Amino acid sequence: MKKKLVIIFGIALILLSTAVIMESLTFPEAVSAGKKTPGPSFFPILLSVVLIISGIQQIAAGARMPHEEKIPGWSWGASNSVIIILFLFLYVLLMEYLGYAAATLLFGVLLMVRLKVGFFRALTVTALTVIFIVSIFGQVFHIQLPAGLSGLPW
Amino acid sequence: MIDVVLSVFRPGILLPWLASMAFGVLVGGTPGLTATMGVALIIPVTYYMEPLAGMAMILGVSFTSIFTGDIPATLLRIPGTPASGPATLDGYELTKQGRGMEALTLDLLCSAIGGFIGVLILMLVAPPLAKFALRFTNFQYFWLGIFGLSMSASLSAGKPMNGIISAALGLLVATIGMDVTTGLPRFTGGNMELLEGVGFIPAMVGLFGLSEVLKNVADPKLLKQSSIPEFGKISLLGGMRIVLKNKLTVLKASIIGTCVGALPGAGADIASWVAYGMEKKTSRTPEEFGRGSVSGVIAPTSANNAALGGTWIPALVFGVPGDSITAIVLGAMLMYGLRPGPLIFQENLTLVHGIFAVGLISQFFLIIVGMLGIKIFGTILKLPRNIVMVIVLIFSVIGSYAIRNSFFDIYIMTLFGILGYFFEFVDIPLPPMILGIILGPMIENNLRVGLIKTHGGFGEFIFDPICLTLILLIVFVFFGGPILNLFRRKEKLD
Repeated sequence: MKKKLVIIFGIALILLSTAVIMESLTFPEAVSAGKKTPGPSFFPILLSVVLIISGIQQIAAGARMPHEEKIPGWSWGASNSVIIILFLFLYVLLMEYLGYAAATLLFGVLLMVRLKVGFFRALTVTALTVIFIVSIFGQVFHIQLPAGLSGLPW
Repeated sequence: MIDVVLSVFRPGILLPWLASMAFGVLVGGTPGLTATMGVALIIPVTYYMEPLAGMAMILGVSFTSIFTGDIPATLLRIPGTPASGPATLDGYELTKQGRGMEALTLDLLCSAIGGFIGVLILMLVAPPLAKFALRFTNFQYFWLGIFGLSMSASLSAGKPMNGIISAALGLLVATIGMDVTTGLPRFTGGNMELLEGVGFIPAMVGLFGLSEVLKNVADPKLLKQSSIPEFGKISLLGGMRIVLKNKLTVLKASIIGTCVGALPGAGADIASWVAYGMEKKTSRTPEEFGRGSVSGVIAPTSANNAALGGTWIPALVFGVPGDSITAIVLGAMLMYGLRPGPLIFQENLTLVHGIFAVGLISQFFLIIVGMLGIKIFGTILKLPRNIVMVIVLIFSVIGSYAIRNSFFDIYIMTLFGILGYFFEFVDIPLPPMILGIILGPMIENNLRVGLIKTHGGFGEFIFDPICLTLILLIVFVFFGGPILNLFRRKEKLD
């Protein structure tokens, strides 16, 4: 697994750096007093060169690694990571409609239940967290929490 | 001077001062709320107070929040403030070994001692140190940035190349947004939110916080355990004994911290990494770093609080801010009708002495308030991991959102969380990437402006004495360890 990942990472670095160089070449040149000066493309290209060399090194290092054990199968734990990422995107969307408090309450309780916390315990802990955040971030720090369609964060 | 010391204990100064320190515990311990934010919020409250009370509140918030930022970093591997990055290494390792209380007690004591030494240096050598700091121009700042970055990049045990990759990726991320020199949008893909660049707070919260959550939830056995199964026990006296055994480390790191802090624009974030890197490089047991080394906890925390004293040096002596906190302090001073700069030592000497007294006494209060903070956070984190991880997630989201009131920053946090999770599998260290994002603008701008000044020549970047010293230090960072080991082996053989 690791061998493959290191090689994929090396290839990704090279592809990313190539894309950065291509994009940087479209930036206009900087000229000062009639002379060319280091423009906006200078630093990204410099970094991309370093990253291309690093990418090649990663591929070589990956190729030298011994053959690996089998990849572990799909499990309840592994699916949790994916669910959290999906929930995060949904949470942001929900915040825009329901407001901060309701969306957080829903997100927190659902996620805790998924992670095998009892419903009432999940509800209590999430509610306390929401009250703390709304009072500290909202009231003390005057941070505008997402208001949702109701116009209020709760 | 005794009158001045006594005057700071007047209720009009003491009460708001202590209240601000309690506020600092909350600010520092909550990921997403920075020390700068805490200080900025305190300023309006101080408007009708006497200047010394206002200064006491500012100092109180900043010293406390820089320390409490280490609490979530040590217990959960989520830095409360950017200066707490190094605490995610050895501090967190100690927590995993059931020695979280020991790590935090040492952290607290060294924060107080480092802060004390920083203020002491501020009192004694402010003018000459500030004069030296002002000799830094684009060339020296470029190398200083590279030096800070190389410190964190070299920490990748046995794989410095991986550290360099992480740092370079961080620098590349920092190029996203509007180019400061030309005003050209770079790599924004037409997204307006990216014009301001990628915020380092959402990136930091994602890399450290979300990636840790993803790692934890993937392991069903881990989920049922308490977040800190064993917190350990240690008295302040016991902690003090360990600190005394490492007194040279504390002193060295505090001096490094103050000197880095005295450089305008550098601050506590770089200071903590430089001190950590220097300690590892000169240690007789560098292999213990990253595995729960006590010196790895002591050095960065002594340095980041000492740096706060250092940042006041250019601010007081020349009216040039040492970091974002002292930039706000300068604004506050003007609000009080004071003129920061050399004349303040003649026109408002009593106030200056008052600030020194507050700075020194704050360190004693810090031990009391900090202990309280450790107890509170320690109790909360005794909850099972499946609850704590969701709470961490909720705070990660609001912490990322709060900086710019932006949903986009939550997506940035998520992206960096996935990246951080993946990086763990390919052994890419996370701290250099964050430092790269923080230092990127400083490194790029100073390199480009420097090259414009020299018409493309690198001579000024190399042959200046300060630049040369920094270059030698960078070389030492990468090759110093093996060279020192060679000398030690020879010593043993002799």
